[in-house]
Amino acid sequence: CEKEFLDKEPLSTISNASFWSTEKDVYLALNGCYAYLDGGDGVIYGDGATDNAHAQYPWESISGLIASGDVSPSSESPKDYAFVAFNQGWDFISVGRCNYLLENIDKVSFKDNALKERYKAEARFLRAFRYFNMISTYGDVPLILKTLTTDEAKQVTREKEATVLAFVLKELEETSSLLPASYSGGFANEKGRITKGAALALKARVHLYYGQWDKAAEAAQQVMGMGYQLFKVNSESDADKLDNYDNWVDFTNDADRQKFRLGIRSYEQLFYAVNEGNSEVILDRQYMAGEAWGSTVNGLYTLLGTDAQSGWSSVAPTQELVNAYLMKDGRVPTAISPATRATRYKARQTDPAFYNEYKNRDPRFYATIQFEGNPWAAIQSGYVFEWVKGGNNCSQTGYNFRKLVDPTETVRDWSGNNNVILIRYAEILLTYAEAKNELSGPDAIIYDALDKIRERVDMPLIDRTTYNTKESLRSLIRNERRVELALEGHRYFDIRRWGIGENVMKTIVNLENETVEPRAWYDKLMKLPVPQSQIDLAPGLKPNNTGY
Amino acid sequence: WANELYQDIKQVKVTISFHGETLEKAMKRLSEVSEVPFNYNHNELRKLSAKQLTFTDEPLSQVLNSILSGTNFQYKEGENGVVIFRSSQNQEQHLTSSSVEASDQVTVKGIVSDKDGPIPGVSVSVKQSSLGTSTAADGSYSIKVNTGQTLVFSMIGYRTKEITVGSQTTINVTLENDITQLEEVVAVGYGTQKKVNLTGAIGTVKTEMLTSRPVSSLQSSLQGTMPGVTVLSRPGDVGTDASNVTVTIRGRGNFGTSSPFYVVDGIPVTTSDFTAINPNDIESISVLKDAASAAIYGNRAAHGVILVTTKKGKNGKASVSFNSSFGWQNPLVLPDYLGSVDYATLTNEARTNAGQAARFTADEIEKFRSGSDPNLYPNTNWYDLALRENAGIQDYQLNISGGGKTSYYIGMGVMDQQSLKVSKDFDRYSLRINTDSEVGARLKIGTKTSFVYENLKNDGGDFSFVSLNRMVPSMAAKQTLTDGSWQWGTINGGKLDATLAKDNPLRLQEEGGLDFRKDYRLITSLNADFKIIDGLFIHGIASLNYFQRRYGKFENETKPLINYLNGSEIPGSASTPNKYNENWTQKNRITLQGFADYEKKIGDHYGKVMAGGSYETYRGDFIGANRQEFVNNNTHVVDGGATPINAVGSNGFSSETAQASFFGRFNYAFLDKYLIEANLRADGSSIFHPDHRWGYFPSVSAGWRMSEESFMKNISWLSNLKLRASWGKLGNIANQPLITKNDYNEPDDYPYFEALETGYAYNFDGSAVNGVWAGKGVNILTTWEKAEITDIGIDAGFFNGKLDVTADYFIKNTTDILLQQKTLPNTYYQDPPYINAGAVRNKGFELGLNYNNKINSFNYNIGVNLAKIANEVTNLNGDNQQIDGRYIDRLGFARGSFFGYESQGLFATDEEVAKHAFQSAATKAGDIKYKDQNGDNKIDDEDRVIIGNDVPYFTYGINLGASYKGFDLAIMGQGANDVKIYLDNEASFAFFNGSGVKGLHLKRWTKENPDPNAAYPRLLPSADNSKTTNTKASDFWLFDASYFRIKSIVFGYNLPKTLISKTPVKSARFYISAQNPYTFMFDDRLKDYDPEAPSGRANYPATKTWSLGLNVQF
Repeated sequence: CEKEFLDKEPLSTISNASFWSTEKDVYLALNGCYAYLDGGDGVIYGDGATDNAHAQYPWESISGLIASGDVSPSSESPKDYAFVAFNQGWDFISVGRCNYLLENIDKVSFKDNALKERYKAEARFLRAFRYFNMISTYGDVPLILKTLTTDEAKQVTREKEATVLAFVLKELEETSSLLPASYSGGFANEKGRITKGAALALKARVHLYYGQWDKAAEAAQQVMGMGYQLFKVNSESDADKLDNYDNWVDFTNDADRQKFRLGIRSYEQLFYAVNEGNSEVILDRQYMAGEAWGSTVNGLYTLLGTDAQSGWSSVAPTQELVNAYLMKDGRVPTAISPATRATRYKARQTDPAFYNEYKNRDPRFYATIQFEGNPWAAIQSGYVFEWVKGGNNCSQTGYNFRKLVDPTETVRDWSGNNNVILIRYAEILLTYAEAKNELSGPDAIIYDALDKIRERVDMPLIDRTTYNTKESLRSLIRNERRVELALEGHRYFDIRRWGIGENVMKTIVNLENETVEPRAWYDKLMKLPVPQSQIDLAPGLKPNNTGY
Repeated sequence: WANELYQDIKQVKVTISFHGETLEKAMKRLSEVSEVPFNYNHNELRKLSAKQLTFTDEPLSQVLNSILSGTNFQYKEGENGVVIFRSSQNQEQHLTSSSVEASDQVTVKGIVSDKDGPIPGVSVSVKQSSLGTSTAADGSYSIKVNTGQTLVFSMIGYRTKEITVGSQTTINVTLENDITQLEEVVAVGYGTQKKVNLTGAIGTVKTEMLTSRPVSSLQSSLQGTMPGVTVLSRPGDVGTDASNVTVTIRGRGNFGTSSPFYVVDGIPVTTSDFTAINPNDIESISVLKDAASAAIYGNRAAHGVILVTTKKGKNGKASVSFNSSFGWQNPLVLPDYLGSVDYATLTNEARTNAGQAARFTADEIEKFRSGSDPNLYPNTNWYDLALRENAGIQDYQLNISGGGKTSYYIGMGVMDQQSLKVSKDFDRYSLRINTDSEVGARLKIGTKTSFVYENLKNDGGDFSFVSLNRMVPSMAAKQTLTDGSWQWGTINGGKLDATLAKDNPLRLQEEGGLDFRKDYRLITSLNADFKIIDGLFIHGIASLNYFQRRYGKFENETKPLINYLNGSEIPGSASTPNKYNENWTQKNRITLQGFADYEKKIGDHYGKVMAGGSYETYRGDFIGANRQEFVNNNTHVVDGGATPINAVGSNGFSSETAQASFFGRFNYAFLDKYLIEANLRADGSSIFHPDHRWGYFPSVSAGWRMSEESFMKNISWLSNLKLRASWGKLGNIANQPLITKNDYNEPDDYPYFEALETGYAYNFDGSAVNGVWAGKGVNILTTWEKAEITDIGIDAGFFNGKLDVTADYFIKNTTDILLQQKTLPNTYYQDPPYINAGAVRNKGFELGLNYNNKINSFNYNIGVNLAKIANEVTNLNGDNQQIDGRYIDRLGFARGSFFGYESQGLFATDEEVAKHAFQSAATKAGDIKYKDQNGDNKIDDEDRVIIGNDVPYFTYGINLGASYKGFDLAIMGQGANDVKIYLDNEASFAFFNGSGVKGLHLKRWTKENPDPNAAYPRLLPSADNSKTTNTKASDFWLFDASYFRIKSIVFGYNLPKTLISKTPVKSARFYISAQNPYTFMFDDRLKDYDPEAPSGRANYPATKTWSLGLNVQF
């Protein structure tokens, strides 16, 4: 009788006891793992902590604290802005969901055992991806491979970085043979799932980050044989045709002009929603059209756009990034001192000398950076960037980003539906080039790989006589990597593994030579500190990283 | 009276024996046995003896006839029960036979009445003689006295009046109601109790205190009315009172919700049901504060119980009363934002301090000053533009009551309250019908039905106060074009500012769309009381509490804004597509209750037992639908939108709970002096695991009415003295997620239930896919939280009831506090499970004083109440402390403690910064200097200390009342001491994320005047300021929130009876009232903030209300 009266079960949830019986249950649980696939909005804040960009709002991320060397165990990523963590930081939800699936999947019998193994491999990849990001950021981390009880969770300790690294590599190696090269679409075979290419490409990245050149080159080469291609367009849209670059580039003829323009379009439209899943994409964080501020959409154009485009200018390019773009003919541009630039900027209404700096540069410069005078008809007819200095939600540096912003999506705040690419083929080519050059110096395959990247954007091929030593080619590869992958989250780790923090983390100024952010480099910045709040709750996480 | 159901004394049957005691005692006992109030002259009846008679189940009328036959007394049925009066015939005989004619003897005649009219049965006696009479049915009397003698007019329920006879022969007397403590009855759980016999700590609120204050929630009316009941009246927009006004009884008793349990006419209701009660319908409110009184409500009573009894019909001709008031609400304080000139000047200073160039040129500042170019260089006062200057509030009430065998009470009310936001308005319509019927001699059946409809509507789009506070004065609200037309402002100090242009609250209000919320509350019950034998009753109540909410919001499609500088459209400034979202919520709570009580008096022993059980089920359902892409902005129904898959959405959920309970009470009194009570309740709740479901809640209490002891009888100044002591155990289940989430979103899980979460997870190939994951930690051991309360109290009356004092000391230990486990690192990847952990102790002292007296026809009363509570965290699940942002719970310290740096003024020079412990690389002269608590020469988390508390643990209220002839005045004040408020973000910091500057910022530190004690540090732009340690939690941003507030002043005037005696109007009163007219704050820096505002940031401003009112009775 009491049972009848008082046994009321929750109506809207399912019970763990009744789950894990069908293949569909596993499918659903795996979707729960994908929900925490790293990437998306947070990626750009990685560049905000480097010489590529300035992240101006301390309440959005800790990028500024890292860049200025002020980061400490108590500086946690702001919780109010859950969507903008620094690569999601010290977090175990993704790991926990994958563990939960891997612990339970064997309760379910599958018609096709290969599918079960594939599901497992997807979860294992997602877990390995998380662990790779965590060790790159923090070094030693707890290696949790099962669901912890509350007591166990409080008693965790950190595993050596090398041990976790070995685990990550083993997982990527094993899963690469369990995953298909592509998916046909439809239930349980949706495009966008983890592929063999993704596992190998990530493996190449991991080896590269840890200086394992031979393995990195080997993995990259495997991917290079899988049929991925750099994305290109062959024509311009009507809106794009309205952009006039004749002020900026000295074209020799129409064909020259056309090639330049298509270079810009090929590069920038690679990231547009309309070109999702193109042949260059190896892994992307999937988004779709949906409710503004919802979880199906990204906030990239809101974070990167100018105030006049309804953006916040949260992450803006630095002059240093502008300087990194070569001249259109492949030469290094002539340096201008910040003081000269400031003088010219102030006098720009009467003396156009200021604009010379932006002339005849790498087409990716025009596709990546909004600088004073850069046209962008696709976002609005007649639109030309103008820096509103000191304006609300305006860039502090004098530049805004254009790369990653899909102009068709600037209708409502925070409603970007373009997938965010996490691994693309150009990275693989650069990884191969770097690893192979470090391993054995310049060779034809390296030049070919770099030339593909250059060719796509109408930049001249590598001068194989000028860049004929490991050292000269190394500097070219590094600059090419910086420019090609700007704002995609690599620069933060590249600075660290190349050991160039001290050289590049210098105080940044704006076009008027006013300090935008005082910056500093300390060796402790090689790794971020474990959040103090977590150490307080789990003292086994002590000691913190060196220097904190 | 126990069941309050007497109507017609002919129906009342009694079993009683009389043994020759005085007629006074006989009537007293008869009154008790019959449960009918008796009115008689004690002095007269004391002189007569009753016959020896025995009656068994005889009608009361028969008993009275028998016992009064042969005396000079008769009885009659009066409005207040039985009236025993001296029969006029006999009186004449008596007078002629016993009085001596004397030359100065006069016959005095007159009418005795009260405010409602003549009263029969009033004893009129001659002081220091045996002479006397009583008034007739029309209130008239006639008596022969010698001049110089004093006439004494007395009657139970009225204050005795003495008048010395001079030369006048007509003496009309108006008696004042005097509900003395002796007769006052208080609602307790499952019954009523005479106040004198209470052994627990129960506070009561006079209904007059509720009805004359124009407030939109009942909680607000409780503020300052009784000790130990803390009402925090956070400022809030119309229609949100339930969430802004929090009531805590005897301090914050746990770590989560310590809200009291609300019961209306025996039916459990939600906080918002309580909010919506029409104050005019309330007969009484009892607040059960200690364990002895509250334990009968078991697992929901840990934080006190508030019992509401609504009005019943009164026998007789229908009486009608009409009340209305009309008033205006104005903001009490508004943020003190400065105009454009100051904004521009300080902006430049901040940028200079940060090493940046000035934003505004001298020329531009001059344009702000002169106002010569308002399109580009305006000086906009956004608060003025966005808010109403006067928001109206109106209230109309009509009550009708009357009846015979069936009596009825009908209350109707309409309230309309405008928001300060121009387009927003809140209406409440309420209807209550209470009936009581006698069905035969033993059965009484009653119904109580209340229907409340609340309509919160906003005919424009909404804006947030956070964005209002970010609208800087240099931003144009509207801009004029050369052709004379206007467009929405896009220019801020000469430059395009699309962010503020989009946030423009004026535009949002005008073009944003609309929303509405319609709440329907039906609470209806059927109750029956059946008398089995004398003293033994069974009672049953079946009730339904039904709630329905309909919510809709339409977001308009709007055109893009036009850049005033170049006439081009601003991308992203249009709002598209338009969309509509509508939700329906329905909640059903069915309660079945049955209990029996039996009382018996044998000699000097009195005993009463009550026992019963109840069963409650609850079900809540929510369903919502949304569409996008409507043809235009004028269709506001779901199917007006487009049908493509992306434009259509829906959601919904349901939840259920049930509770079964058994309860009982035993009362024993000896000689009416020694009182004992014991309660026991058992509750079983579906929200816990079957093994941890049932809880038992006992309590005992005792009282000693010392003033009844013979050794105290002779102390003339002491009219009443009672000592009380109680102990008991209570429970609280309200902190588990099923209950605590707001009314609107009932969650759908139990903390013990191993549930998986399901919902949207990811997108594959452009489509959303669902997922399942273990998202919530589960703990099957969760059970109710426990509170153990010990209470010692004293009730005393002095000077014949002129001064009443109630004082209580209590210790309340709350243990097994039910809360989400806070101390888990995120390596536990799910939401922390709920656990029973932690303990808090409240020790408190409460004092209530009431004094009333009169000087000639000037009556006045003074009431003071105060409560001081010492709160201490005594257990934190084994931890020493738990930090939650700027708050900390630490063993031995109070709940609500702020945790942060201790400031030591501002740095005067950069050298001083260098010498001091390292704070941050960005720290410079003019920044806040923090104390290096641990001396390690760096300021970090280890240097944080407890710096204050945001809970008012000392609260007080003052009530003053006075009346003179037709005039009356009531003043209610309320205050809190020893409490801090933390203001951050735009509430404190200049330029916070684009906001403006306030008066406080003028008192900043500057290079020219590096005052280490300046009220504000050096100015910096928002992002630069965040990089210094200035914005870290520190006592620099703590403000003293102690205050004393005049909550209300009511000044009324009653039309003289002479003026209305020819009309059907019985009484008419006009009044003027002021709500929150004056507030005294103890912190000068807090001038532009309401002390009751929550710690944090911008909010709806507190309001004051002035109103005019009218009460008429027919």
